[in-house]
Amino acid sequence: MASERSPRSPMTRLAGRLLHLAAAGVLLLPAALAQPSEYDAEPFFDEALRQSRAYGLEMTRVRLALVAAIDAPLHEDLVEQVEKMTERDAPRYLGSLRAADPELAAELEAALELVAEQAEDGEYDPATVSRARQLLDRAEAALFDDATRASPDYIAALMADLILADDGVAEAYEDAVEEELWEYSNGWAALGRTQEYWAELRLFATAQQKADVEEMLEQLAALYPSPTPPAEMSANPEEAEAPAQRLVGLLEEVSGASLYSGRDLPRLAGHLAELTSEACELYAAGETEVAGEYAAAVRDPYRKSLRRLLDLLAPEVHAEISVRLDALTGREDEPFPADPAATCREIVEGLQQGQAILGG
Amino acid sequence: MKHHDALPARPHRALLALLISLVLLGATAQAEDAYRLYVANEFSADITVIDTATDEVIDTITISGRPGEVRPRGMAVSPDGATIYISVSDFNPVLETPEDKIIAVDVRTNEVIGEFRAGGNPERVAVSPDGTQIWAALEAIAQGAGYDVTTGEQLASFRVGVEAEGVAVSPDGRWVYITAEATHTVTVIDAQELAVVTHVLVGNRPRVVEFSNDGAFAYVTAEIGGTISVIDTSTHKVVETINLGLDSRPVEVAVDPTSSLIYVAGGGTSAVYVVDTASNEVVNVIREQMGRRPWGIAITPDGKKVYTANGLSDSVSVIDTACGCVVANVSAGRGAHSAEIGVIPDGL
Repeated sequence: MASERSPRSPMTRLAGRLLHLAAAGVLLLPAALAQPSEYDAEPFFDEALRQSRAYGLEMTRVRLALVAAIDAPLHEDLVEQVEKMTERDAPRYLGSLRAADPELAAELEAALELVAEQAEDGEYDPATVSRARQLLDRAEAALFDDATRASPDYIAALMADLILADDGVAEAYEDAVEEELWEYSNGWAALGRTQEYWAELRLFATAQQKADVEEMLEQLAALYPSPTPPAEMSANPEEAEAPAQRLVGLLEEVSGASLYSGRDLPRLAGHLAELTSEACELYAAGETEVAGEYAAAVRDPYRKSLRRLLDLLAPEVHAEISVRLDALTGREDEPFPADPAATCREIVEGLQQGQAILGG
Repeated sequence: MKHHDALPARPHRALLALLISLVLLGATAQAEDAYRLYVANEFSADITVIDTATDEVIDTITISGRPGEVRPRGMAVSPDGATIYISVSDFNPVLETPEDKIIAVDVRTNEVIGEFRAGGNPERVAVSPDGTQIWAALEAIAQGAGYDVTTGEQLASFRVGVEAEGVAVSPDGRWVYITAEATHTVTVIDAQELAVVTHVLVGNRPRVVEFSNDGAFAYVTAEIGGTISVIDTSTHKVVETINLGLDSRPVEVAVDPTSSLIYVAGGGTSAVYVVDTASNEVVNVIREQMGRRPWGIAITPDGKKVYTANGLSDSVSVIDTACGCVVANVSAGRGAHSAEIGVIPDGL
């Protein structure tokens, strides 16, 4: 007679998995791994959601800059990049904007869709793009107060994302050299925004820091001579990586803000679990759009700092987290789950497992 | 004749004997002090060879006629100093090309005497203490691979962390440690059993690993973390983290064979951090006269001189360890990446 197994609680499953990993020698000791932060501000920990929303707004500006700078009709691969503003960028902030100013949110959403449609149709209407930009400025003002927008840690974190995140300066160049040529244009526009923000942040820099930052910006600018990919690009996809990394290090010094959330990985896993827990409550309350902003804010640092590590140490844990995050954020063709709150809670469980595996 | 007449016979002979003695003494001292420093230049695709007795460039070994397309990076020198093993690759990790390999160069002739296929952008290489094996970190395919130096055969390859970079073999030849930048890990390979033992989480973006002279500890630099992770090799666990500062961006580390000091190249601050491993504390930071963005670092076997490969100034800084100061800067090729020191082989 087959015995009926009682369903195990998440905590029981977690304990069982940890025992298994301990036996395999994978669990890590936490004591010697802690890394002190020398900077006062930690925007990617303390204001993770704010920074994710701000990055969404910035990347929307990046796509609009492409439409304005490159003659229509756009290459079909570039159209795909432009469409990211409605598919990937806007979901980072539109829910909060709708809560703060529903009319503005609706206008902005419609304006962005119109720009994307025109791009797909091979058309360019400067007035449409101009209106979208104006609405974006109003959205930013609605979401962030003046003090926040003027603070060095906010600006530096935004610059760090523009330089290092997906579709940012370094990654776009790498993707363009390797296989997706038109990612280049994202990097070009992201660098433009980075330079604009540097004009604000340089007020806080020493003479040496100004010289060092501007040297790195010049190196990057040399890789991005035009909005469209140049006839010849470097054979090295990581050509932008070294100056980009050095630049972000300098921005940390200028702003006094830690700009790498992955320095303490167990802490990051715990932080993402907490952030996801908040998303789960929102999903349970039916606030799907705002909950999605949390999911997007979790997915990026997870992919950047934890994905490959957990895939090495505990691939089954990584797989469970990854596929669910993709589903909640509509990435990698994963269908949106029927019960997003339950899916969300499974992500929390996975991240907690990950934190324990990493010694947190 | 007039010259001979000018000096009395006995003092002349005595002076001559003294001069000969001084010359011989000098020659002996030079032979004892002289090693070869090899600097891999990533962008000019060559190796700068420096005589450590004079700190002068004595040779440049061309690795490829296609600089900017093919690059040398990590190196290792055979125990007898006769061979340098050089990680060579193209710049595109997605592509596996014939350029992805480890080459063995006889430094007496500068001829390539062997090649080890290493698809997947080999970034660094280490030689076993007995000189019979080399181990490579294959960046693009997240593998570590060992090769028999004599036959050229691959002994084994293992999955390691993503973006594998640093590699070192323990002084007893038992352990191979391989760092991985993207997973922030060190993979421990048992070179006798040819098996992966474990993966160890270290600081963020680990670059290079080196073992202590007695093999009891391994030191792993973390570029973004700004730290050195100290691993106890009896347990393969991190037992301490030395904080160099988040702006330090450490890359290569050189272990002083004659003391408890290690020297760490700080690319972010253009400084060399001197750490006493007895206390695991930073005891000196050398900044003055340093070249820009030192990544590579090597120390002479007698512990008297440290050399850094400076990627942004295309130079080598020479540090006198007695004063803890830079005493010279020497031009290298473009994109000086890493530095290794070997004894002068027989026949040179």
